[in-house]
Amino acid sequence: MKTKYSLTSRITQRLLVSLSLLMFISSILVYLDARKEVDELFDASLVQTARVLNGLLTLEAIQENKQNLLNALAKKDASLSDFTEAATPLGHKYEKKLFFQIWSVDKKLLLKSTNIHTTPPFIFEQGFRDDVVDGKHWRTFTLFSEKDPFWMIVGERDDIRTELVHNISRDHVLPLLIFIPLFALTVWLLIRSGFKPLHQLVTHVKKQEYDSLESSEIPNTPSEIIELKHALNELFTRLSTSYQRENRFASDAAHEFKNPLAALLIHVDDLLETSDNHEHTASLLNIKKAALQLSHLVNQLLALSRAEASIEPKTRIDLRSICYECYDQLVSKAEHKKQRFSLDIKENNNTIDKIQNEKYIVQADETLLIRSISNLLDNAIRYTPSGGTICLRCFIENDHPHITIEDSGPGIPDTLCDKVLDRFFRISGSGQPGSGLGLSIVQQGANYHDAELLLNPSNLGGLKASFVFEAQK
Amino acid sequence: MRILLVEDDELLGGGICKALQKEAYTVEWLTDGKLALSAALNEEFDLVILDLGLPSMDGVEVLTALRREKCAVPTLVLTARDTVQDKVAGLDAGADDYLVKPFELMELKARIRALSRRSLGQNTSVIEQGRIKLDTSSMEVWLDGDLVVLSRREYALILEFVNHPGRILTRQHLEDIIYGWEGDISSNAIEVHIHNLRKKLDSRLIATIRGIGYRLNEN
Repeated sequence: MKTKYSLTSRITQRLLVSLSLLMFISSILVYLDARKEVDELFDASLVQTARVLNGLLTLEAIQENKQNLLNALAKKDASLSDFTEAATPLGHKYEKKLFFQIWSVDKKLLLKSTNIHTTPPFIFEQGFRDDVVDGKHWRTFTLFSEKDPFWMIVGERDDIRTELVHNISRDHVLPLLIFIPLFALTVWLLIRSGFKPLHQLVTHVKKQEYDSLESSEIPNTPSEIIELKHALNELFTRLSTSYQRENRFASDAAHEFKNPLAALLIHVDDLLETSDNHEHTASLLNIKKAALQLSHLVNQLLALSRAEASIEPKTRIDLRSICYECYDQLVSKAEHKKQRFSLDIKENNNTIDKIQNEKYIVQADETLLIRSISNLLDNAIRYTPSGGTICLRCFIENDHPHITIEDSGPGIPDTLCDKVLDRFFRISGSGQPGSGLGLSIVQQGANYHDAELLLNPSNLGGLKASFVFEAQK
Repeated sequence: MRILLVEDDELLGGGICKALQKEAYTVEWLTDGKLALSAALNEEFDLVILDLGLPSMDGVEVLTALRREKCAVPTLVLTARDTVQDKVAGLDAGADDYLVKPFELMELKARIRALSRRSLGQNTSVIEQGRIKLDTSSMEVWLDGDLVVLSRREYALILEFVNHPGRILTRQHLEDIIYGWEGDISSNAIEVHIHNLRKKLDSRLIATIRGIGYRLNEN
């Protein structure tokens, strides 16, 4: 699967992105709205200032008292003469950035506030305008007083507005900026806790073994997951049934083979006892041989299916006793073939080696383990020619208990080492009868005991099969 | 010796029947568990060969019921189930021996002989009773050390006498022993066999108990 993502991060991410986008849009709207409101408010106050001035001043008064007015302005403006950012003690920082000019109809400057030094090329036209004066942006309002004909221009530094709008916008955005990460964290935590039943389900499914599938029992399953849980439980039930059926099938089939086989053997034996025809006897013996082979195959099949089902409980077993048992079972067979069959086990009798003794104890299904080891020994005896050597060893290496079976037989070619473990695989031309199931049973035995089955060339010239168990605590 | 064979597989049952009859055993063959139970309880058998997988009543149930009714007939269990647990369950239910399918005829016969020996308290296959010596494995009979050639039915009769020395065996019992249920016996068939036995062995060996049956004289 290429698309591997976490639902939690994905939902959090998307929420975060869409939220940021929404906030961005809302900030722009707030900014625009604030700008508009501030503009209206300031424009209105600009107009009001103009009208107040207009109401106070008359052309006559200006012309008569020009010098007095200028002096008065200069005096009063002294503390407001520049555009320092600091507020005057009794004022406000926004108040300073205002100016006014009064022009005569023939466009001569009559009066101006002191803080404007250059005379901008004003366009004498009533209404609002944005101008650049002294390199600064100004918002100006021009009024033509008709009663006492003069032009009055009132201006205000634009950056007051900008600053105000910025402040309003910043106050709007700042909490949001703190809020977003908190929001993301909360969402992430909520989703995570929301997905908890799903995680429980995953943990439960992971824990399942193929041969013991259990329905999950998660309390308070949310409706979104309950369907999945039901479906999984149903699947488990079906799987478990079919697994059991498959296991039973092999064992049932093997059982069903036994009756006809028994009948075949009985009838052949019966005929053999009374047959006095040499030719018939030879054929009957062949039939009997085939029947016995078939019966061996059926027994191996049954053993394999039993090993796969692994229904037997494990008990504490000393691996050395398993080796003795297998040795006893097969020693006569090896002797019969005139093979040297040796058993190499280090016995520790003194109490100091008690710990060493403990290392040989494993949790095992005795029947299956004996069957596995004797299958390996039986193979060794069968494939090793008369006069050959077979060696069964049990020892501890790096705390791992080992059981090895070595022989001086033909061994297994490297290329076939994996294949020989397949069911019904037989090396062609070996000339030995067999079911092709022996090593599958051994493999199952190894799996069931968490042991590793290794097939290597032996120093004796043939095969070395090793059972390496886990180190015992 | 009369054997009750309970086996539902036609081929196997037929084979066992045929092979055992050759050994001078009288074999009654049933394929149904319930019928087998009532037959074993109501008639006298020297041995029961019981398959465990049976219709209508499982072999283990038959065995349990038999033992509950204090019927001590030696029982050899035949089964396809070969795990240790199965064997233990069978033996605990009262089986005397256990044979896993498929088996060879020789082994079956040897186990039957061993079981009947055990039930009669004998240690070997050779039984000696007075002047008669009998080898159950080779089916040979000697009188005073001389080999006597007997027919299958004659052998079955003398075996029954030797196994129950001094006991009066009824004609009905002897008929059951050598003919079983299927035999179409003429009214004096037993007399004919007894007559032949007396001729081949010694006329004084088997005494007639008038109106009841026969008895092997112990000396």
